[in-house]
Amino acid sequence: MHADTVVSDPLIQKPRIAAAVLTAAFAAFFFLNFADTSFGRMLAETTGGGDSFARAGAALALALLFVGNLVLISFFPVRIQIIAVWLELAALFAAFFLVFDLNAMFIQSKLWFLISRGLTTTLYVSAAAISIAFVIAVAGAIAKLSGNGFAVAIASFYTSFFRGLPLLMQVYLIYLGLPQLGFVVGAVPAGIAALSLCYGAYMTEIFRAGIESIPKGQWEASRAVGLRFGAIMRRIILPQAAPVVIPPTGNQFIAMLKDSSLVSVIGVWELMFLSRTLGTKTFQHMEMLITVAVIYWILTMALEVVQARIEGHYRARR
Amino acid sequence: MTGNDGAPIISVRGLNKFYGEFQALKNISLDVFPGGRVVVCGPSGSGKSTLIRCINRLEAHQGGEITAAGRRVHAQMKNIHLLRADIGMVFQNFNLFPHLTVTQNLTAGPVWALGTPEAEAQKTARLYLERVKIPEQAEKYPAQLSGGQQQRVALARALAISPALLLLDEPLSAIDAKVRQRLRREIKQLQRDFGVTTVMVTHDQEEALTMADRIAVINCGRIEQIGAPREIYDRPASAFVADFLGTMNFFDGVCAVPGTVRVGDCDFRCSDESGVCDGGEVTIAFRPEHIEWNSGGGGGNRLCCVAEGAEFLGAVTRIVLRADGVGKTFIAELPSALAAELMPAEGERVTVTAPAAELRVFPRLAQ
Ligand SMILES: Nc1ncnc2c1ncn2[C@@H]1O[C@H](COP(=O)(O)OP(=O)(O)OP(=O)(O)O)[C@@H](O)[C@H]1O
Ligand SMILES: [Mg+2]
Repeated sequence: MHADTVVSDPLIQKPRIAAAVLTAAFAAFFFLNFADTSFGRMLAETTGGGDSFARAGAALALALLFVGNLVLISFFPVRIQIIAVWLELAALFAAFFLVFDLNAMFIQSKLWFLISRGLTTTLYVSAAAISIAFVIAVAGAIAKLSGNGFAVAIASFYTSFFRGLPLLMQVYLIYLGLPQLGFVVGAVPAGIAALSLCYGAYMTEIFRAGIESIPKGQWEASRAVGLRFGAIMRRIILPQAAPVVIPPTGNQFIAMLKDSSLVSVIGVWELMFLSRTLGTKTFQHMEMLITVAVIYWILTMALEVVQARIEGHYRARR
Repeated sequence: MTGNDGAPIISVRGLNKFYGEFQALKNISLDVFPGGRVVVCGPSGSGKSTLIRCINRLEAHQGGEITAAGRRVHAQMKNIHLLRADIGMVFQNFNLFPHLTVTQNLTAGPVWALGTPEAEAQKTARLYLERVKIPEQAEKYPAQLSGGQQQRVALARALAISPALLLLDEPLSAIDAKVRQRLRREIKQLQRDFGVTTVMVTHDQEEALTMADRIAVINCGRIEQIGAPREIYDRPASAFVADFLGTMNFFDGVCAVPGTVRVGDCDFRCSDESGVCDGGEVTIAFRPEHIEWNSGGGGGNRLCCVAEGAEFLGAVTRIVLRADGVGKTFIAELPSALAAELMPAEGERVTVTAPAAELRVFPRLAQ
């Protein structure tokens, strides 16, 4: 979106809007009923009002807190606003996790193993799969656009097949099916193969659209200065397709990072596998699940930052 | 330098080009000799771009022969990139590489196609950027340049591959009149300095007349006339050409007696050079600047007119006249200095002469 050059006050600072939001928040909190929380009970005791009084009081207090918070934040610059809202939401989530009453000692004792074994395996599998998928995608996209009957048929059959089957099924097919043909593959290579084939298929379509988005004039201009197909692709078309392709590709990377958990079914010791096995002995499933969830999330955030960096790099040219 | 000696560097013979059912080029033949400056001009949609895009085979043609820079251009040709590397092209809409800086736009061809060392290519690029007078823009991206600057980059990029041949598709269309004049001169200078043969497309008649040593006028995919600018201006082969290059007055008439055309109640005498005039329906034509005001001249066609108005165009003044018995207005042009003396008031009667030698006669166009 291209912002206008005229600015107006934040909506929430307009009394009517603030009042409307306050009313809506009150209604929502009243409906959710916080009378039975410690805060509600305290309210009922100190004021001596009844249960419904506590319910309304708790809702009003929370609604005021909520709207006051919004108004307060709205006075800050956008960067601060974003950081503040992020921190608040993160605090709410942390509070939610605390409800489970997790055993910190247990988490600490397993954390190093989770990272040294699980995280590295997950990263290794994902990185390998993504690199291979990238190569497949470039080749697949060129094949699809080539106008060569064989290439088009093979590429479209490939994308159709691997986008058409559930990834879990592909993992099993490759791990259990290939040995039937006489190729014995280890669990890790099989997992990498399944992931890269599947995501290669999705990314083929992304790359194809990206290449097609480059106007015909760019091809003509590069041919006119004497470039040949390989150079045109590498120097002119793909670099220009990159900014178009990067956001959806980043999406695929993130999705794949988490879909790498599917290879746990064939016994690869990655994060998901460990999260389910480490807690089993002592029935501390929740500790491991939540720890691994946080690790996945941190990884994703790291990827998001990388993606934003790359996008920023390309945006500088326009 | 522009003599028609030696072999042509571009030779087009009987070229036909179809877009589906639509025939964009019809039986085009054109020779361009080394060092020549050929301008292809014609109205919008007449096939000008299509013609020059066929020469480096950005478009496939369906019939006829094209030879460019010593190679026959056809579908099965090997190493088309070598031919293209010999032909610089400026596109109608520039087609600069938006992800590359101006310098990289210029070095793309030499480095990535011809394998010129990077440093050398950059030196050449700087040279050409200086020639088109934008050396200070070298590190910018195309989107950060004005239309005129982009135009110059496009021109420099075409020159930077050191072509034997330059194809320019309306290279000055996006530039304002003043800068355009200057760039015209610069392009001519570049042509002279580097000795490149040029084929340039334009729909601007002034550009055609100033830039060309030969003009090809194209209409509806057909070449109407090829010749030197003066020749085309003075002796247009058809009413279309006459109308397209320069201003022309047209009267429809009938040729009853050979050498004389009757328009309304007036008889116009023609000269031997006027064109075929021996019967049937014709159109006569004469240029506004050929009207003579000192009406004593012999061999002229005297016209009694009423002045209907005048337009001041700077150096010249254009006067609208209505001739008695013809029932149609026409335009006379004369130098403004002269017009100040002779200028008739609106509604005043004047007598002018249309010299027989300057009269052109064309077969009447079907309407
Ligand atoms: N890719 C195409 N598909 C179908 N018809 C086309 C195509 N390109 C051009 N034409 C048609 O061919 C004719 C000639 O087009 P061309 O671009 O050569 O015109 P032009 O003389 O360069 O016009 P202008 O001065 O507007 O650039 C036009 O009628 C146009 O509609
Ligand atoms: Mg054109």
